[in-house]
Amino acid sequence: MEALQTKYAERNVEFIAMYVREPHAGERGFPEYRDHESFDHKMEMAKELQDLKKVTLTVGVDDMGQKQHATLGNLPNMAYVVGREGKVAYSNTWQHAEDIDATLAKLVTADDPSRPVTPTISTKNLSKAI
Amino acid sequence: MAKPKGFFKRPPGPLAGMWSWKHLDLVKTWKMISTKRVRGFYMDFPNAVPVGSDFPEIELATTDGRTVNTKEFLGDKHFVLFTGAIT
Repeated sequence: MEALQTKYAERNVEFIAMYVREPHAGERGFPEYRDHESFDHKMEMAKELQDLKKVTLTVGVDDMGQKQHATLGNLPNMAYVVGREGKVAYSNTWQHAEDIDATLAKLVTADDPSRPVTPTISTKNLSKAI
Repeated sequence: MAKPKGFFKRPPGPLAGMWSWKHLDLVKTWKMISTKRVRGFYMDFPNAVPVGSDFPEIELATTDGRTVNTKEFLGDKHFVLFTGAIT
């Protein structure tokens, strides 16, 4: 998402990471994390996420009731792309950078056909990095 | 039944997300994703805010002390909203 934000920085696209409940708090790889106990605790963990992942884009936090998260589908890693007219252009149960790139390329190219954008993000080589 | 477009049962990308299992409690996670409730979240997702529909107004407190409201972008910017957590 950071790479996409950089790519579309000049093309009027905003990125918002919505920090939601911790789905695997306390599990094998995350023994030090626990479920949110208050909104302040949730906000602290959102800031920690931002530091850990070196996130520069906007990170927003839903309230403890998670009503807005529920409205959108209640999933831990979902993604929406919304056009400037407020209509959903793309959604998925899991974030997929290639699809999001392709959708954004189409939207911003339609805005200004004289500056076409082609999808360039690939996740194919990520397996080597893991 | 064919899966609707925009629906991944598992995370896309390397090893279909299976690499992440080394961080998880396998039994607990398997139980969680097998529940009717959690499976329902995934199956109902395409109908939550379908492609082509109006995106609902979402207002969030940000980590830098601001408030972001998606209606600010109407008529001005495209936006990507995605969810995540540390774990």
